[in-house]
Order: sequence, then structure tokens, then C-alpha cells
Amino acid sequence: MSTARSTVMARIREALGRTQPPSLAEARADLARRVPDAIPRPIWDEPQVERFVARLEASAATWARVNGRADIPGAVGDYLQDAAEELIGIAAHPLLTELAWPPAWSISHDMENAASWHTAIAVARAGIAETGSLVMGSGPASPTTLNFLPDRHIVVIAADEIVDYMEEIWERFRADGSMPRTINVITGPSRTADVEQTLQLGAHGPRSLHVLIVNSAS
Amino acid sequence: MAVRQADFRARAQAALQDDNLRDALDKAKGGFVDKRASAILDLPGFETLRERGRQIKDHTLAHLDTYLETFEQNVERNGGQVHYAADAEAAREAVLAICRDASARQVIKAKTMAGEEVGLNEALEHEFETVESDLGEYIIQLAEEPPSHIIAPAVHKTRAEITALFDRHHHQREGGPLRETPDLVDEARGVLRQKFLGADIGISGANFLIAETGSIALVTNEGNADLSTSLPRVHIAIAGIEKLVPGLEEASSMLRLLARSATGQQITAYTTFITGARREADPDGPEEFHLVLLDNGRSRMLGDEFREMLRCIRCGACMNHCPVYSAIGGHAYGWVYPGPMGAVLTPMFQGLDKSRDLPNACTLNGRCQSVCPVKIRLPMLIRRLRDHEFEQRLTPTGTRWALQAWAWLARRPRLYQLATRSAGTVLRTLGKGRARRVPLAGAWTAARDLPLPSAGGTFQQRWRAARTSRGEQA
Repeated sequence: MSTARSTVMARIREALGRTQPPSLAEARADLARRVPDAIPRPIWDEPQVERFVARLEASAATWARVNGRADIPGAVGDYLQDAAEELIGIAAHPLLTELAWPPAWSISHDMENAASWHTAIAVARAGIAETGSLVMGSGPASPTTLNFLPDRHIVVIAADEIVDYMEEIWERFRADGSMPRTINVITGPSRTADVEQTLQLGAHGPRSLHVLIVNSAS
Repeated sequence: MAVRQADFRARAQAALQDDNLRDALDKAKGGFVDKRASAILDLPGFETLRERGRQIKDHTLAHLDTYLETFEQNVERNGGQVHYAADAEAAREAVLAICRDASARQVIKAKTMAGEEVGLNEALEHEFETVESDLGEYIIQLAEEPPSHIIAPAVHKTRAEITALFDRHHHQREGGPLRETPDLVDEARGVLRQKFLGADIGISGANFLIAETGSIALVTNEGNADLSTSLPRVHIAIAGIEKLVPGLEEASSMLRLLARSATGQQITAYTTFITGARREADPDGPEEFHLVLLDNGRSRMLGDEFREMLRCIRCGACMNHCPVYSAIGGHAYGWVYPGPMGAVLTPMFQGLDKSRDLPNACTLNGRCQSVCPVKIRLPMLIRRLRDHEFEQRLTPTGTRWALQAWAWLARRPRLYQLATRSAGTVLRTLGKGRARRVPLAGAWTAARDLPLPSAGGTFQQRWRAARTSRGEQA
């Protein structure tokens, strides 16, 4: 172990007045004594998906519902209008790669080209109704830079992947056994207020965010 | 960054005369205060959440050794490396060594207050092309100024000033027409996009360190931190050891506090959790992840009466609600952390002898404490620093003499009442209402008027009269 580490650790133990740290289990027991089980969080009356889309709109995102996965290319076409004029990047996610995309579109799955894409399409691991957020876990099917490089970001989410609160997504990642390198919790398009406190969309990341909610039954 | 405290009074004076700055501060203050107030309406349990935040941080600080060890193991398990830095110089050296090992040429930075604290930019700029990517930080980097607010670093810059900066640096021209906000933001986006794509090293701070998973949490609205930490080959994060929280659930609670307190949002546009380096199958992400853990005086605070200041999550609510900050802005404070937070942190990190004016630039009105998401008793800490100044004889001789004279008088009630009655009589000879000039109080009246006493007598006389008229015993 480095000297810097032992110096800092020794200072911390001196400040806390001990030579050995308590075990993690002891620490967690102290935390459980200090904080009540009930977490103060926003509450709402409307159905979960209604809360989700209301918060999406509040974050300046747009959305549409589609019946089944086969309807996704059509919904993307409706949103983009001039899809054939664009370079479209699509995440190598089985939900997207197996779809019948119109042959006239310029589509790529290769992240080497990501910096030139106008629009990117990705699949969310989960949605959070509390805040209208999309949860993207990085990996081969969901590259993290794809969420930030293009001007327009289209995210597909299955309605039954929406949860109430952020805490519920941690259960899912724990069940995976490990965290992905990056979890992006995305709420609306990129924005800045650094020029005279005036809100401006499209600072460094996408200028717009469009969410396609796929009905669970299909 | 070196502390520039010696001329606090001169800078505060200059700030009070700067009309551009006053306009910018007025605009920003209203925005931050109103947005926070409406954001907490959505969460009726906000006060309970503040208490939870305080408990989580107090608990973590009391078990800092345990959580640091857990955190470190988890970072390493996920392919990252942890570097401890006992002081600012060690932190700079650690970052420089990583950059040199990577044969880096270009560095892209997301906003990091810990980086500002250790003077990272000055150290990097000697060897590497170093660019700030947060728009506010980029603007002040072009202007060669330090940040004036921790959330909105360029809050003091007007659109005309930003137009002139961009014209000069992007187009090598002067005196162009005033440009609109979307145009300026778009131009910076284009310039910085090339910097993101060309950088070998991305540097970020961390809003929270999560012991359970070895993750760092980062919040931005622009997405600049995400591009900075995912495109370059190497990612270096720098954070104070007090940024730890036990687990993911605790991070979620703290994030609810942070977004509402800092920008009045329920959540920022981008809340990101980064765990180690790129995985084998990943198509993108950095090959190396380094975390520099900064002590720089924090372990000393852990053992003394200022420990609670380590709860601070750097939201900036204290400065947004501070009447002194609202009048003079961040630069007057002379170092990285302005406002009430800076009045405590600057003496902690730089020494009270180098910042003796800061604990006195405070009216002790208590608004900072009432909005602090982790309930730091800022006015109490500031009073303690004043006590230390007096004990260490750092208080100017005139002030010491006046305080001692006042203490002598206050222990003699009859004499005290006679003196205050006489002072009232003298002040009334100056006129009615407010006085613009008062003998011996030139420093006080230079920037404000003194309300003159009315004919009704001293406070004690009026108090007695009021009680008598209500039939209470005097």
C-alpha cells in the first residue's frame, strides 16, 4: 500500500479516535438505526405511466405510444419526417436489430461512425415515473456515447419496464451481479443556463429527446 | 489556485460599484431562490429528507475509514485505480503522472471543484492542451478568470462580454454585433465537440462516491461530463474523501436533495453512475479509470469542531440565499468556494490568517443554515471562526480595542444606558431618516445609509415603556 494511503488513513483513524475500522456490517447497523425505513419521496395519484409521460413533457422531451415492436420503424419515420435524408445510428440491441427498417434509410450499428450520426436510437433498461427519466446501462447493446453524440436521441422503452422510483433500478442491477461501466439516468434533452441564466436546449448532448413507449402486451 | 484574500475589502468595494455585476447577480439570485422554492413544493417531506441527508452524511463521516476501504476494493474490482492525495500538490502530481504515463496531449475537463481547489488547470496547462467543457467554465477559462459561483461559474458575465470573448477567441475579431443566446451556445457546442473527440484524457469531479459499488455519481445538465468521461482513452476523477455515501439508496436520497437545492430541479438532465473502466465487451468507454481521493485538510476537520462542514454537497444554496454574496458576487471571496460555504472552507483549507475577513463578511442572518440540504450550522461555524481570530490575535487592533471597550461598557449597565442615550442624542443631531455620512463610520456608510434613531429613546427605554403600557411589570 502506498505511503499517501497510509498517511491519509492514519489521519482519519486519529480523527475518529480508533486504530481499527468497524466492520461494514457494524456500520450498516448504525445507519439503519439513524435513518427511518420510509424514504421521503414525491408521491402522486395518477397511474404510473401518466406520471412518467407528464414528467417527460416537463423535461422538454416528446413521446409517442406504439402497440408493438413491429410498429417502431413507422413511429421513428413519423417523428423524423425526412428519415431518408439522415444518418441514423441504431444500438446493436436485439429489440432494434431484428426490425424491418426501411431500405431507403442510411442505418449504421458501427460505433466508429457515431460522431457523424444525426439521430441515434437506443433501448432503455428502465424508466422512472418519479422524474420521467430513462435508465441506460452501458454494454454492447447500449453504448454510452450513443446517448450523447447525436443531435436527436430516440429511446425505446417497454411500458412494463417503468418503475416508480430510482431505488427500484438498483434492485435490477444488483440482480445482474455487477454494475455496468456507465448508468445514464437521462431526463430530457441536454440544456444549459450558463449564458445569462437563459435556458437553452442542446448544449453538448442531444438537442431533442423522443421516447417511444411500447405497450407491454405485444 | 492561490488564495487572493489580502484585498478582500478592495474587491468587495469594486464589486459594489460594478453595475454589470449587480445586474447579473440580481438576475441569478431571483432565479435560483424561486426555482428552489417551487421545486421543494413537489416533495412535502423535504424537511424530513434534509434530516435524512444530515444523518447519512454524519454516519458516513463517523465510519469514513470503513467506507473508504470498501469503496477502494470495489473500484479496483471493476478495473479502476485509486490514488490517495494528502494535499493539493500530491493531487496535482498524481493527475500529471497519469497524463504523462498515457503520453497525453489533449485534456478535456468537466467541472470539478476539487480540481479548482488544488489548482489543477494551472498545473495541466504547462504540459497539455487543457479545455474546460462546462459552458460556464469554458467562458471563464477564455476570460482567464476563476469561477464566481460553484453551480453557475460565469454567472457574472453578460451576453455582451461572452460575445466579445467568443469573437476574440473563435474568430479573431473585435467589436462584432451582440449575439443571441442560442447562437452563442451553438458556437461553443461546435468548438467543444472537436475537443471532446480529440482528447486523450477526460477529467471529472464526483458528486458522490458510492462505497457499496465503487461507483462515482456525476450530475450535469449539459452532458459535458458524459462526453468527457466516455470518449477519451483515460478517465481521471478527482474528489474529496468526504464525498462518500454508503450505498446506492443513500445516493438516491442525496441526489433528490442536491438537484432541488442547487438548480431547483427534481433531477438534472444527466445523472450518471460510473463504475470502473470499460468492460471487455463494451464498444466504447475509457480503457483506464483513475480516482484521485483528496484529503487536503479534510481529515483534520474530521477530528475538530468543524466536522459538520464535511457534510457539504456543494449545492450552492447557501450563497444563493446570502445577502452578502448577492451584493458582492463570488470573486470578492478570493478563492474557489464563495459565500457562506467559502467563509468556512477557505479558512479550513488555506488558513485563517490568510482569510481573516471572510468570517466577518456575514450578517449572521441564518438563511444559509435554513436552506442547507444537510443542515450545516453555518452561522455557528462562522462565529467559531471569529472566536478563533480573536484568540489568535488575528482581529485588527482597532476592532479588538473596540470589542474590549464594548465588553467593558456592557458589564456596567448604568454606564451602558447613559452611553447609548448620549449616542442617540448625538446621532439625532445629524437629521432624520437616513444618514449618508456619519463621522468615524465612513467605511460603513460608503456603500449604504445609516438609519438614524427616532426620538422615542433607546431600545431599552422603549422596551420598558411598552411593557408598562401592556400592564406588565417593568
